[in-house]
Amino acid sequence: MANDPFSRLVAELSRLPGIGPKTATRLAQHVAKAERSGAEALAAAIVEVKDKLRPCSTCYSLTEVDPCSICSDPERDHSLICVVEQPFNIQPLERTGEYRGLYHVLMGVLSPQHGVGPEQLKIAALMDRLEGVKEVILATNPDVEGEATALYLGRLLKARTIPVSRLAFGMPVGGDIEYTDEVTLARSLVGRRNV
Amino acid sequence: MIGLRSDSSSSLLQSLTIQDFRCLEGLSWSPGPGQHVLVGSNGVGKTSVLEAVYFLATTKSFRTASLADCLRWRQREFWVRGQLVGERGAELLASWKTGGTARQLNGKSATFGEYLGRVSALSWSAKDDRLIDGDPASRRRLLDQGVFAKKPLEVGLLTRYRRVLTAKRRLLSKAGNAAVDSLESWNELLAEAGHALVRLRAEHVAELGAAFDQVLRESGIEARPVEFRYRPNPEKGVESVESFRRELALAGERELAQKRALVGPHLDRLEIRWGGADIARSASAGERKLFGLVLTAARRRVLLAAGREPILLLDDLDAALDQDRLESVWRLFESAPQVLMTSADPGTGGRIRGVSRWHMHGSGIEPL
Repeated sequence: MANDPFSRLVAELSRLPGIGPKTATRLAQHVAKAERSGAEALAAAIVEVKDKLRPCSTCYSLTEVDPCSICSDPERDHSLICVVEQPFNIQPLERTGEYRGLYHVLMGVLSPQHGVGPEQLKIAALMDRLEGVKEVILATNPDVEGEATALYLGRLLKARTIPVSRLAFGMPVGGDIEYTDEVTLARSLVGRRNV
Repeated sequence: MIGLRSDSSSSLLQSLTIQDFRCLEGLSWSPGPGQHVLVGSNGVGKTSVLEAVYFLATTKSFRTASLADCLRWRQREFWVRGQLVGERGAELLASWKTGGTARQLNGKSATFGEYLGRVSALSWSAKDDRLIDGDPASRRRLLDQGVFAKKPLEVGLLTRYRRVLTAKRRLLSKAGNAAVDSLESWNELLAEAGHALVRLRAEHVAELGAAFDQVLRESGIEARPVEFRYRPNPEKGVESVESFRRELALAGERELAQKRALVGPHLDRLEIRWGGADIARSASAGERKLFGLVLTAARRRVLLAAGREPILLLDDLDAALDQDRLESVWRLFESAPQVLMTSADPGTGGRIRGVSRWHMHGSGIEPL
C-alpha cells in the first residue's frame, strides 16, 4: 500500500466502523479539499475526545468530569438504573425526555464468539451499585447477544430481589402487521399496554 | 396441476437479464408467463438459466450451497435482474460478490422478508437426489426451503437459531465454570427459537404429506404409498417452549461432558418411507424421479394454499421418461401459470403440448 499522506488518511478512515474503502476515499478527498481551518478543527476534535473523555467511575459512560453529570445530578432518581451496552446508547434514551433515573454501561454484551463472557463486562460494578435501587431496566439490544445478556443479568438481579424490567420490543411505529414476523408480533403482544 | 387452478396473487417473471453467472457472460430473455422449454446442446448453460431464475427468486442456488461456485471465471460479481408481472409486479435485482448477497426491490435495497415476499420458485432436477440420498442436513435444508418459501417473513428465525447455536457451541467448547454460568441464558434463547422452528417444520411436513397424497390420488399415477415422518429434536420440543427447556435441562450435564450441543432442531431428521421402507434403499431409479416430480407438485400445492404461486423450474424433465409417462407427469404441472423447463432433446415441446419452445445457443435464446 502506498505510504503518501492521502493513502495514510484513507487507511485510517477505513478502520472506522461502517466505513469501507470507497467511503474512506470520499471522506479523505473532502478533507484534502477543505480549508486548513476545517481540517485542523476535525483533527483537534478527535484528539480532544481522546484527551478529555474518560469513563465515569460509577456508570462507565464517557465524561469530562468524574462522576458524570448524570450520576452527580441530585435531581435524578437514584433508585432507578437503566443498563445499556455502550456509552453511546445513553443519548437516544436521554433525548426521549421520558427517563430521569441513572445509567450503567456494560461496555459490551455476552458474545462467546468474540470471547466475551460475564467477567469481561461491567457486571460486578453494577452489582456493587444496588443499594437503595428499586428497579433495574435492561436496555440491551433485542439481538441474540443483547437478549442473552439481559437474561443473564435478570437472573442475577432477581437473586438479589431487585425488580427488573426489560425495554418493550415489538412493532415499529408506522409498521404494518401484515409485514411483521411472528417473533416480533409475539413480543409486541407480550409488551402491550392499556389504552 | 390437476384440479388446482391458481387464484393466488402471483407474480410471474416477464423478463430477466443475467450477468456473469456460471458460463453466462450476459444474457437477456423475455419468456413471459406460460409454459416454456429451453432446448439446446449440453453445456450451453440451460440449467444455469434456471438456476439464475432460482437465485433471483430466492437468493440461493439449487445446485450448490456456495454461491461462489456460480461466479463466472475471473469475475468479481454476478447479478440477475428480473421484471415481475402480476398483482405484485416489481423489478428485482439479486447480486453476489465475496462478502455476501445484495437484494434490490424496485431499485432500492430490500430486507430479506420484503424481497422474498414478492416471488417464489420451486426447482426440480433429474440429477438432484439430495432429498433421497442426502444426509440429514440436506433434508433439513430442503425442509426449511419449503417452510420459508411459504412464510418468508419468518426467515429471521432460522438466522436467530443459528446464531444462538453458534454461541452455545463456542461456550461449550470452553466449558469452564464461567461458561456454565451464562449457558442457561443461551439455552433460554435456544428453547424459544428452537420451539418456533420445530413447530414450523412439523406443520410443513404435515401439509406436505397431505398434499403429496392428494397429488398422487388426483393424477392417477400408480405408486407405492409414501410417508413423511418428521423427527424433531427434542421430540417434545414441538409441544411448548417449556417442554423444550426441560429437555435442554435434562441434557445439560451430557452436553458439558461432551462439549457438544446435543439438543435442538439442528439435529432434526426427516424420514421418507416409500412402500414401508426408507426411500434411499427402496426406490428404483424411475420411482426416484417420479417421487421428486410429485413432491414438486405437492410443494407447489402447499405454497398455493398459503397464497403464493411459485415459478416452476424443471431441469431435464423429459430425460429418461417415455411418452406415456411424460404425459401423465406433465399433467401435474400443466395448470401452473409459469413453468420454465430445459431439454437436450430438440423434439421436446413437440412431445409436450401447448409449450413455447426456445432455442438456446452460445449467443442467446431465440424462439423456435
